[in-house]
Amino acid sequence: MDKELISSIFENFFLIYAICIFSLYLWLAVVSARELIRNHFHARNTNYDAIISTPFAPMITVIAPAYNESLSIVENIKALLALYYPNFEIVIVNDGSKDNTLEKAIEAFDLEKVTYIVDYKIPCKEIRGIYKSRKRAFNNLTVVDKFNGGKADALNSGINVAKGDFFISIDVDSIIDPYALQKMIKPFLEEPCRRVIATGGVIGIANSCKIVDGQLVEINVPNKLLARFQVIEYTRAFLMGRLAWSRLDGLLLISGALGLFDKEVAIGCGGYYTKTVGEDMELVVRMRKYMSQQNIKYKVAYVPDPLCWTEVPVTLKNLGSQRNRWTRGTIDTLFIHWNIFLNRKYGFMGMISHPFWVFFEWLAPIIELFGIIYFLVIAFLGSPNWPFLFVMLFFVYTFSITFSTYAILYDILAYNRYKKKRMIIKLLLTAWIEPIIFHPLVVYWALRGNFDYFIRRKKTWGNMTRVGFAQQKPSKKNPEK
Amino acid sequence: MRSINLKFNKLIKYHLLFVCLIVFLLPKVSSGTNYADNQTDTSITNNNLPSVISDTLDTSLKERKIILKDSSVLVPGEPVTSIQEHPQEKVNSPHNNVNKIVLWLMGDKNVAEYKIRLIDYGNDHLPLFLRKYFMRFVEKTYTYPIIILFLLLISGLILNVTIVLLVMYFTSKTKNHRERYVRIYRNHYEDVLRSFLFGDIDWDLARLKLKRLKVPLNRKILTDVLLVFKENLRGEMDSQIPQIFLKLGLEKDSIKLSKSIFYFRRIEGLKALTNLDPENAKVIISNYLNDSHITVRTEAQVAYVRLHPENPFEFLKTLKKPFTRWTQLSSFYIFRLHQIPVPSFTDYLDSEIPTIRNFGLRMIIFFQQLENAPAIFKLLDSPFEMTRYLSIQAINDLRLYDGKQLIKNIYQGETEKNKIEIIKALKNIGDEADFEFLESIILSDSISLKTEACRSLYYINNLGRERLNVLNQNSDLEIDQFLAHVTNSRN
Repeated sequence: MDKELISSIFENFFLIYAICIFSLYLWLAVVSARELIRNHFHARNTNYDAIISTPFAPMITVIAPAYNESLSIVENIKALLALYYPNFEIVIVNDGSKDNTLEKAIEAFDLEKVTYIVDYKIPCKEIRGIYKSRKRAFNNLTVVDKFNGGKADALNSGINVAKGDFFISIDVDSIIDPYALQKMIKPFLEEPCRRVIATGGVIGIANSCKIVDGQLVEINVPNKLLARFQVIEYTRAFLMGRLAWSRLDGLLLISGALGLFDKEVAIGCGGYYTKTVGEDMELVVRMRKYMSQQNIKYKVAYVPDPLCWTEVPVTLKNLGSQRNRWTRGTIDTLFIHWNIFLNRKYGFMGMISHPFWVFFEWLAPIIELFGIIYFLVIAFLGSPNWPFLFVMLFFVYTFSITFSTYAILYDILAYNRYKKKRMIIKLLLTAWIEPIIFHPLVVYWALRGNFDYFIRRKKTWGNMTRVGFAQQKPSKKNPEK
Repeated sequence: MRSINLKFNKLIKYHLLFVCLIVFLLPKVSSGTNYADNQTDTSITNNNLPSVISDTLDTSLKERKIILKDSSVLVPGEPVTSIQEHPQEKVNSPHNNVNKIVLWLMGDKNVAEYKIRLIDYGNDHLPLFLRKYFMRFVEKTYTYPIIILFLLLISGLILNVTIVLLVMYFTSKTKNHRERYVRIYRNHYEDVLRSFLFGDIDWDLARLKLKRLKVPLNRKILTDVLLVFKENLRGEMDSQIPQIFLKLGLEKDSIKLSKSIFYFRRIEGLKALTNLDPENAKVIISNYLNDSHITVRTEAQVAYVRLHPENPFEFLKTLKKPFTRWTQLSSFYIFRLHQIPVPSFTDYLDSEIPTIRNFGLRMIIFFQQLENAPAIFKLLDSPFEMTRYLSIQAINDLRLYDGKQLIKNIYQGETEKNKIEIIKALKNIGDEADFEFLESIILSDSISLKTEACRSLYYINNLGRERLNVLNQNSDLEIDQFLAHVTNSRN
């Protein structure tokens, strides 16, 4: 092959890939806009009193794995107890914490160890004990103490203990909207023809927000730039990505911080997979696959309301570690379920969603890297067309900021969370520098994730330091988690 | 499968647009123009660049004039060649060497055909005054160097961002203004109506004080205020509120809304009429009981329950779509809120729609309608798991002892969830005759079934407890652990 043909192959490939990715994102943005409008009117006409006052509300089990959460465990359980729903229980799973997480909970809620027969429908590490409160006010609280096995394993033991037909998996250090349960159960109850197997919600970023007694009382734009970048990123992902995928019935990922699942289906397909770091996405894909194999019509729903608030990493090290893990989780899930790739049997998921994740989520940073390398080769071997390069770069930049600006607009129109003009200006400015500062970092971390997955065969969560909401002091997190 | 096909069709539609975009960006079969010729002097020096650039620039310089065979785009006075007539020439052109991958992917003919199709589309569908500009646009996108297209796209995006920023600014301003306006008038109308309802002022004065009622937004605010009053006030005032609604002619707005093409407006109209003009509402809601939109349907069904206290669930007999659990909850909520007399739910157990049967069972359990036993027993043979589950639950909750043998008979073929429900039922309706049955379950492998069986055996009577003790002594089943579990009320 001559040099010209090779260069032609590369250039055309990059161009077509870029056009594909741009047009797909535009398409998702349009679908999201329509869905947001639909949801706006739908929510306006919903009366939640019906579910709050009914004796027929289905039981929901809230499962919250906790590892070394002694700083905030008491506040977090209190916040969970304040959830506004008539029929729910809370299962806190102490995943072999090395600090006094369990002792703090025992003391605060007057817990005692009870004899409990656990039906291990899903295999998990041995449960050391089940704790219940002596006080009637905390009748719906169960604390499970088990040997350390990671988040997925902790969730599996929570499912084994759960009494409800539905379970909601949350991060114990997240703040859940008091109305989250009633909003998230609604899709399960109103779908006339298909079985809803899971519902996801929007995750908000709580950095710099005012939190009192485990409740979010004032929303602010994060002070730290790195957290602000993530606000833009989350807004884009939840309002312009997942919303559209849910509308198209192709949603593959429900965030681990908040997801409501049909327990029967989750148990039927084997629960959370403990050997991956992307257990949240893996479960959704497996549940969908299971339903397709059973030939049951199903749906994965999405509630576009910010129902959960979480603290995002604000140091490069922690953020890098998180993104590295996300990348490895994605690759793992895509490879575990590779047989659905372009498989008609799995419908939209097989033909569109899975290939999209392969080409535009997993491969995107790799292709970007190749593009940069190719450009460097051209730059060294010949003289590149600098004006064209700059025009191209500027085009990509303007596309990116347009996309982010739309995400902020969607946020304002849908929630109007940021009341002050100053906040919106801050966000806009962040969006405009994000492609220059934050995007290269994200690409780098994703590449590191690929390297760790394929070369170093890394399968652990990595280190993470988090500042508790309650005391705002650092706590060391589990390497296993 | 049909929905998947629809989605694919949608995808194809979107991707056709995207392919058109590629064609625009890779102008391979375009007519040369003087403008393009002028551009090439500079571009030819940059020939080792990404092909997309050099491609376009080279095209302008080297490509022979090839104009598609379409009468609508012929340029008088210029030499005309058709693609179909000179395929070899086209393939040999330097431009095509560069873009052979794209040509291979899309096909030479397709590239040309897209242009023809675009032009034909313009000729067939666009208004006359637009056609000229459209042709020019197509021609130019096939002619101009790609860099110009990118610059145009960039300008478009910048314009877009500017518009979004303006939208943000004005949305925020309008929203705030509207919120303030609504707040002011809401407070004003509340004050006036409160004064009138409590007898401080008479109607004539109140009418005078209700300002700006010709403005649609104000009429909407007033309707909302009346709805809130209706919900919160009782007694004599409660009956006065609908009269105010009618006196002010607000029902006309609501009737108009209920006929809107937008479902959310239909719901608004239905809500107002149901609460404030029941007579009109009774007529209108019957049209929406089987509406294609689930939210409208739910609203109409809930309104029916409210407006027909003599037979609140009669509409279920004519329902053609599933009666979702959400609608069930909403109807039940209204039913209880307005203390509507409880009807018999037997009729609904024969419904062809499973969700209606399930609703009937739930209601029978809740209202303890014991007279429905035979109909409940029949439903134990239902093919639907949920219906059987609710029937077993009904037998348990209504203490239908005649059903005990029936549920034991179906036990073997049931799902685990229903098996548990059967064992739970035996706790309340079982006796010594069921001990063996329960013991056989205790000896089985399933922990959940074992636990429930222990619970039932323990709570049937003292004899059951003795049997458990005997079992505990004679086997290694750790029955004492199970007993500790089931006797703790918190588990």
